[in-house]
Amino acid sequence: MIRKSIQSRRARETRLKIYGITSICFALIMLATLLISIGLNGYSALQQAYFKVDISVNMDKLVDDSGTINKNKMNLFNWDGLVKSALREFFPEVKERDEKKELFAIISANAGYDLKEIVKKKALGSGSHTMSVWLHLSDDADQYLKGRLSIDIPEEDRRINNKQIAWVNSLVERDIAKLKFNKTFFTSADSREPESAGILGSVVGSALTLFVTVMFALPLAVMASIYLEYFAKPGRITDFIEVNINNLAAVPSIVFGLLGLSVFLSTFGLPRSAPLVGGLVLGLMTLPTIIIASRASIRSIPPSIREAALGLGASKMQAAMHHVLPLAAPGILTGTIIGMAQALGETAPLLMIGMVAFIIDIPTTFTSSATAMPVQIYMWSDSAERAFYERSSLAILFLVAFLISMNLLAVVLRKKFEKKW
Amino acid sequence: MAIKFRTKNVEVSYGDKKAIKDISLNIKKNTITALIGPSGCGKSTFLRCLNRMNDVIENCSIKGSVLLDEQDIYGPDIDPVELRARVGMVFQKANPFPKSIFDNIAYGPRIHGLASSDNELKDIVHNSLEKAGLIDEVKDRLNDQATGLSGGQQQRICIARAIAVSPEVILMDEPCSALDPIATAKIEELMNEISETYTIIIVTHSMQQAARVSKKTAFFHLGDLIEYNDTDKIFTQPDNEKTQDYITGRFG
Repeated sequence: MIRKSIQSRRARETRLKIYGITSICFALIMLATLLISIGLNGYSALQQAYFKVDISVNMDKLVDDSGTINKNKMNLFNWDGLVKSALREFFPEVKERDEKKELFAIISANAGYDLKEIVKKKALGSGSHTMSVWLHLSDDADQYLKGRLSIDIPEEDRRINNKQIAWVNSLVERDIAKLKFNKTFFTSADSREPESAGILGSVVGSALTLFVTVMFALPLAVMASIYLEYFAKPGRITDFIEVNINNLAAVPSIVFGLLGLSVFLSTFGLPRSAPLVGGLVLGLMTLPTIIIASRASIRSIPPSIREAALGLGASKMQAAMHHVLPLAAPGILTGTIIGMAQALGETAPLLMIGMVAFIIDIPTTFTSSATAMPVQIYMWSDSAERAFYERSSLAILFLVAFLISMNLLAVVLRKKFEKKW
Repeated sequence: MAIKFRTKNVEVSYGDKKAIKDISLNIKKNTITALIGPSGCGKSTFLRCLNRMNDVIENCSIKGSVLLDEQDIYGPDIDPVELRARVGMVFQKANPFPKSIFDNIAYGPRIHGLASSDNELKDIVHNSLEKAGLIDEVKDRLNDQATGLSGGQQQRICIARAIAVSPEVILMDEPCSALDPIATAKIEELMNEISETYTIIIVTHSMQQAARVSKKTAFFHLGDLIEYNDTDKIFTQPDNEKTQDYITGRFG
């Protein structure tokens, strides 16, 4: 009898184990599929098609009488013309106006601007200088070289015609054009031209926003949880506060965006699109998460520690600050980082406060216009250019890497501050 | 001999439930007084009244008066923080802070500002450990974690920590219940030594312990104080039948 029941119990245990392993495997396969597909879409954005031109610049035309570079003269100078004439030297047979237009379409529309920036950075002395520089090809040429543009479809439906393909190929054959590491992606902010667009602007925007978030939410949450755990008199008001904190954690994030819009922007008149406002809104959003984690962490500290401090004549505040908080810190920290990770991936509230704007400068202060990583991904995935597709995939990988490193940081910090009993 | 604590008609209730009723008791200065009785009889509750540790517990209310040196400790001009510096406490489970031995002992003096210099603080720590009979065991490892010590040593650290604040009274809530006989003997010996300078009130489940260490014993039962007398008297010829039953092990 007993043996029979043991057998069936064993079988049940084994079944349960198999279910568990299966579901874990399923989750892992899904995760791997997701990451691999994003990776396959995004890896090609690590490279970018460049072409090399020899350019000669006469610095005397660009400096003041004192010899320093004149900004006005720099801006007025026809850099585009310089690049275009250099390009035409490779293809002397191109004479027609329309044909020229087609030729210039294979290089980046920003090539002249990029050249200006290169010259500015080089800080050349007076006189004439000849140099060879690598500039971006257009996104269509880039996609063609990466094999991401199908050339089987009829010419008139393609973004790049046969003549342009022949030119690009001829540049590649002459070793004038090739795929190089896409440094631009990591060093610049957004642009309408995929070849000039980068994520640095949104990374800095996200970092500034998260800094505001943690500075705003962490102290408030810690103080709130200490109050609720140790000082609040149980009663209706405390219950009401508690219920509402839990409710707040379940409010859709876009509602916090609306709140930020009406309170921070309309009432307080804070600047729109600013990391300051974004941080405050995300801070409000993560506040309940951190409070709930902090309270759980504070509650897990044995009351005997607090009693010991009180028994020695420590005040309630001293007992909390000297003994409970340091011991609860690892748990609070974990909760905070989880909240931060949630805030980092949040798009909706930022849309409401204008952080969805197209911003080409890397933000430098908490009030300058900025965007955030998930918003950047959202904007790129919405763009028509094919080259933005691979860029958004790469940006997603970057965001995931950012999240993983935050979680790693949480683990490391917890290990470091955890005290043994 | 002088009276340290004088309680009059003390009644404590947790919500609707009365934990102790009408306790009037005079506790002598520089004596060890034992509180005995079966579980749930209210002896710990009474002990915690004496340094207002019940304040921390939600919905706990107290009636009657508790006088320390003839001053009502529940009076309006008494700060519980100051009171607890005068009336120290050692808990049932050794609860050293997860810090170094030195920091454990130094915590009280630090928050009360008892030492004006580092050297003075070191002296206080040293003296407290000496009084607690621990100095030889730990003097070379004052910077080690206190939580790494044995259970008996941890409990003596807690006693030393209480002594470091120079209290007048030390309350002990079953300090030996988790310790082996050797560690218990050490703590009892320690209590005997320090009873000349401190008033000690100990709650204990062990009647032998009460008989060994205390001068006076109070027997509690179901929230009532049944009998309070010299320990010798209680254990040899108690006045009350219930006391007789309890000490002979007929219930408890």
